[in-house]
Amino acid sequence: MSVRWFRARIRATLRAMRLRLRASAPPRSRSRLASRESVPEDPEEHAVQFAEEWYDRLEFYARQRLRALGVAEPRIGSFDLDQDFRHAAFHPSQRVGGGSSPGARVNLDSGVLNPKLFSPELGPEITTLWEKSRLRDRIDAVIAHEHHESLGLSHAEAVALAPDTPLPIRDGARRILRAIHEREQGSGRGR
Amino acid sequence: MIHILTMGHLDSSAVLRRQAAVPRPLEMGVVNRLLRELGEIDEQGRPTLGGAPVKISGETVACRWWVGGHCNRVAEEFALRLQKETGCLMADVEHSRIIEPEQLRGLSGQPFATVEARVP
Repeated sequence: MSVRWFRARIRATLRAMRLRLRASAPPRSRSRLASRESVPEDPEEHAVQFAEEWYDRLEFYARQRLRALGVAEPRIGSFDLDQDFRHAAFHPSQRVGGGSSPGARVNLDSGVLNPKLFSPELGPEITTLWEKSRLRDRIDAVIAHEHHESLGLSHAEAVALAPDTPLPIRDGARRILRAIHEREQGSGRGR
Repeated sequence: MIHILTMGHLDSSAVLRRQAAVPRPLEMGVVNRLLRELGEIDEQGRPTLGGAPVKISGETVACRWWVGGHCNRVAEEFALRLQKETGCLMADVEHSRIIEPEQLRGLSGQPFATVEARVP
């Protein structure tokens, strides 16, 4: 038994162990970004699925944005009854963009991810504007609207006031809110 | 941003918690008749009111009501008639508000909208 023979034996044993370990390891998935669930055809359902999967990031961002716009801490979020009453600024199972609760509390929901949120009621112009807007502009627009509603204004009053809100929302958000308000004036409808 | 009109024998205190708790189911015979009178059926066979799909859970009926500046007056008319016949409650659950009949115009176009539910 030479030293060379001994080294060759060790190398062979290590190779065999490596192969055995590789065979028993679970197959490595190609992507760690999303599950393999099929994507629903309905954009509303897709928004809910996405929001439920990425709830933690959306919750973090919604909370951060509400704070950045100056919404007081006790007014951020409410109990999400669809998710075991957890207190959250983002409610993934709701589909209306955002909501408000007693105590002037504001929350967002999966509606901000739905490109067809205003379709077909508000027509192709606003639907396209909403679709092409960045998520943070959509979120700012919803926060401004819900902020005014949570303070006791009616929906129509909030639609009228939100474009000129004192909250420091982004220009893109003001564009969305202004387009919605101008369409309301143009159609001559309102509460 | 979107308001959904939910109709049913709702627990009003639960609505303030954004919960659609229903002690007893809605009279589905009345719901179906009113849907035949005011509603339509879309390509997927779902009932609609003013073009918006109606969600019937067996205990409540819900339909898109306010979308931006657009108001679904057909849904309002449905809600007013349903409330008159069954005494049910109307609510905007996502915004924790109870909707009084005076807040709805329906198809008659009468401007009843003088009372707003204010939640402090």
